[in-house]
Amino acid sequence: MTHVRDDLDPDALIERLVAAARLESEAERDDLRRELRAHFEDAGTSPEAARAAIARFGGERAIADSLRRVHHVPASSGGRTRWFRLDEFLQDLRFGLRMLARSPAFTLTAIVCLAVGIGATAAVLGWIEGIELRPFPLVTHEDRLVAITGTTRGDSGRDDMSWPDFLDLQRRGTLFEAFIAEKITGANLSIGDRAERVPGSVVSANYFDALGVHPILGRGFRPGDDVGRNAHPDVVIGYRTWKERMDGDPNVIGRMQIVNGLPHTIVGVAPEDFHGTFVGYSFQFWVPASMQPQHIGAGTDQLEDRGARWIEGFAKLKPGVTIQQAQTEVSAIAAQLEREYPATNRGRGVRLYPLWQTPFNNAGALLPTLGVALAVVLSVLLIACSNVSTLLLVRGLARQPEMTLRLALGAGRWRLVRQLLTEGLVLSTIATVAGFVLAYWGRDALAALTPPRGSPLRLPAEFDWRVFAASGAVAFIATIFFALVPAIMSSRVDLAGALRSQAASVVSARGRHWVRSSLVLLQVSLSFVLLVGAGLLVKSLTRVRDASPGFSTDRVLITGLDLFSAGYDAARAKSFQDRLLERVAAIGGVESAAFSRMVPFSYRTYSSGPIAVDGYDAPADQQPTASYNEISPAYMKTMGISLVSGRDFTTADNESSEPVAIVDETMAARYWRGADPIDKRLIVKGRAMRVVGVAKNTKYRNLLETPAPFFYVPLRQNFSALTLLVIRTAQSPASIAPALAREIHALDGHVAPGEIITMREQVRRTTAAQRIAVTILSVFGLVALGLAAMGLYGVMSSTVSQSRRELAVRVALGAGAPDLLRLVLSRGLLLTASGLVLGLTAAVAMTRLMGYLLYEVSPRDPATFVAALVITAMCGAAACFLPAWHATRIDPLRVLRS
Amino acid sequence: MDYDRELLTGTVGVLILSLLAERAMYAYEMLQEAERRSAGTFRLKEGTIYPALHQMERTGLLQATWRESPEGRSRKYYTLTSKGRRQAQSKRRQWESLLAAMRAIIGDARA
Repeated sequence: MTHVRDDLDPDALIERLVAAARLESEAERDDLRRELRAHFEDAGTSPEAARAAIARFGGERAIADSLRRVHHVPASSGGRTRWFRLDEFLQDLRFGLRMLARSPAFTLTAIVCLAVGIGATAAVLGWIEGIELRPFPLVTHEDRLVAITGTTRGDSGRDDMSWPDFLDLQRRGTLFEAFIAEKITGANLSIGDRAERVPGSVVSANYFDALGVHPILGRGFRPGDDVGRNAHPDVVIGYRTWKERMDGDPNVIGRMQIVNGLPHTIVGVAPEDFHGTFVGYSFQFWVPASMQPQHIGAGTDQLEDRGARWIEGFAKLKPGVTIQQAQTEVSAIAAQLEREYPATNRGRGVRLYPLWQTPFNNAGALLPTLGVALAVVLSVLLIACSNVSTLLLVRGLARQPEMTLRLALGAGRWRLVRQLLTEGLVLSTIATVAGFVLAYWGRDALAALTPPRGSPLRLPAEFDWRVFAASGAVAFIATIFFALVPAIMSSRVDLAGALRSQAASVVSARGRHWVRSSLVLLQVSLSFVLLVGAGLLVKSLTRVRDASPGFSTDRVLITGLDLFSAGYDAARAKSFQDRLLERVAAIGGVESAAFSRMVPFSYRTYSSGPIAVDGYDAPADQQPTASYNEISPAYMKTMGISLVSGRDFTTADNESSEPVAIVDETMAARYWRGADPIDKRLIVKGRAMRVVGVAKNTKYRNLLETPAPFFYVPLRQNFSALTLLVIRTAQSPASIAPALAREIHALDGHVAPGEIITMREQVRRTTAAQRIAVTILSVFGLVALGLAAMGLYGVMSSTVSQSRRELAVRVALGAGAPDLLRLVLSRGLLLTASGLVLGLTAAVAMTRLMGYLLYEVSPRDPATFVAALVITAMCGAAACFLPAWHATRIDPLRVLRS
Repeated sequence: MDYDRELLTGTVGVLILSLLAERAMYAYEMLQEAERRSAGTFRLKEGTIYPALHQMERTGLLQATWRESPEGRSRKYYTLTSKGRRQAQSKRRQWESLLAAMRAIIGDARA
């Protein structure tokens, strides 16, 4: 017997093919074996005939693949095929992975594009979840929690509530499981040799029980702990403080802890994931409301005063109660209180908000920013998807022969579409995982972008199942978007198409080209919109930075000085303040210095109260109120606030002299209606004061506020030991800090100044929301522009490479390099221009939504639109230039011969 | 003359349906018959016919039975099902119209 080499042996080939077909039963394998043997029998059994038959038989691998695929394609069952089979899906998956591995550059580009889009979307969804929708981990039934504030008739803003009003709501509300009071505060926690300023909260006694949060050690507060002035010096401490500052000591319960100068008994340790109920901060202590005089009132008792409004809070609705029903009930209770206590409650209401609109913490402040951020990242995702779609379309061209073969073998178009979709799914799954990693990695970026106010901010993205599900859904929809069109286009090959493809590739590519051009239009227009948005915000931020708040921002430094916590009574504090002002004034370069209870743009609330003015009759249902600041002489001069008429306070305006006040222009205009208010009477909380001056209007809380009546009273006549020191100097905070610390130390070694900042920094910190929006829009605007340029470049490059024959003919017919350059560039620029026209329309419609983030900038600011137009057009031109230049390098002889 | 293989590959299905519309045949017989009738033009990579036949059998266009050939050898004969017959007619019509169109184009080009 002649020895036949294995690759020339028909039997060996047959066995390999039978094995490769992976048939399920022996009967099927035997059937295939018999059929193939018959083939080689008919072809002739001599070695030469066998060799020839094997040569004619074709590529073993392709046939094996086809056989395997055929026998794993669902057989017709009753004329209908099942639309999904796991084995087919796994087969597609393996095939898809192989195909992607074969072109790593394409795969990597697509994954990076999608990962950026999906990751950014997941991060923003995580922030929305963690800050707006479910900001309080561990709180049970968070969905039934609503924020609650007071309101003043005639004023669209919000106000705090008084403690007596809060107790009445608790007693009379029938649709509520609980009302929870809280007020953010700060304290020096001295443990061992280190003192740390930490944020905390004064809360109603039901706080922990109503929230369903159980301390990990000890207990929360007991009913009645919020009754009696400074009667229950108990404190629940935060997990971080317990773990880091107290080494996680299990015997900490019952131990004494000095908080704000007063010994408190530690009664509980909060769980690790509970950070309190103020979005943005991780609270480190909670004290019951009975300790308000010590922690917030700076000695004054506001527990009995229905006119003193200092409470913010939450209400937990009973199951099934809607926020509208609850609002109706609290409004009715507020109306009752107005009738019962007209002196303090005239014009006062109560308002409920869903958690994401909470006006007194960062949830409300960041809501518009996060809204814009979501729109931006979804646009970026859309651009990324369009880009990947374009890449897939280009790749589809290269795979046309494969598609033709598979169609010829009866695979069916739906089968091909599914195969291509599976490849898209593989891409998006990898990109989604990478995106989640990116999002998780950047979860604290928002806090990093937000300027801190003394304590580190906590604005984490929350990645729970909802965020994963929502991001997954977005990724899935994105996959359908980017993979379906190319899949359908790429599977649309037929004999006629294959025939035409021989003629001219440009013609055959028209269908795909149309789709690709549309995708580029989408990218160009979206990136233009994002650029306009970023431009408007940058301009707005510049305006904000340059805006005059009505007081000096340069050369004015502020620092907190908490004599109250240091245990000073009023007499000692006054003496300390006087002596310190003398010493500070003597520091080189200091022009003036003053104390005030508040400075503009502070997070703390101004004092406020009901007012009455002789000759001014308020509408029957309104109670005029105004906010005021308690200031020492020289405050106006130090802050650079000029007086329109009258005089400034002097040291003679003290406890024993007649109460006086300086009103601002808005207040003078509203209550004295153009008459000169000097020497007129102003009654504040029933106490008469004589107006001695009118001050220029300034901004008090933020740059975007509308003017509201405001006045000043002498600190000495309305004393507080919890004050800020304001210094006018040309020196920087860093250079004056040692001298200031030295002077304070010289008076009392136990008192230390707080953080020293300029008023400019103080103002800057209130523009956090705008600055976050600027950063997000600028970063993603540039990413979008880059992606769009990539898309445009891709389309133009493939157009040029497909039109090589056509371009070569043009060269052969005498077209020069400038002609070709013009031809290709004009096509690319036409695309860019069309995208810009679309983008212009979209931008005009969309930037209106940003109105509340813009300061003195029109959402249709022409200069910004023109700048964005120029940048996008230049990027478009740059993206088209390279392919156009390649077109001029075409060698007509080589192209036409090939 | 060399033909684009892709062009031929796309015709395998039509070729099988057309041949079987006349009578039952086995695979090698179909290959021979196609080559004979096209005077050698249709010289396919012979192995590709098997996946195509099996696919068409699975989708219900063909059915196969083992029986003896006139030479007394056992061969797997394929016949058209009624669905296959309908498909054969439809493909035939498509091809005729395509050929007419091609002839018109090529004829115009020559003119």
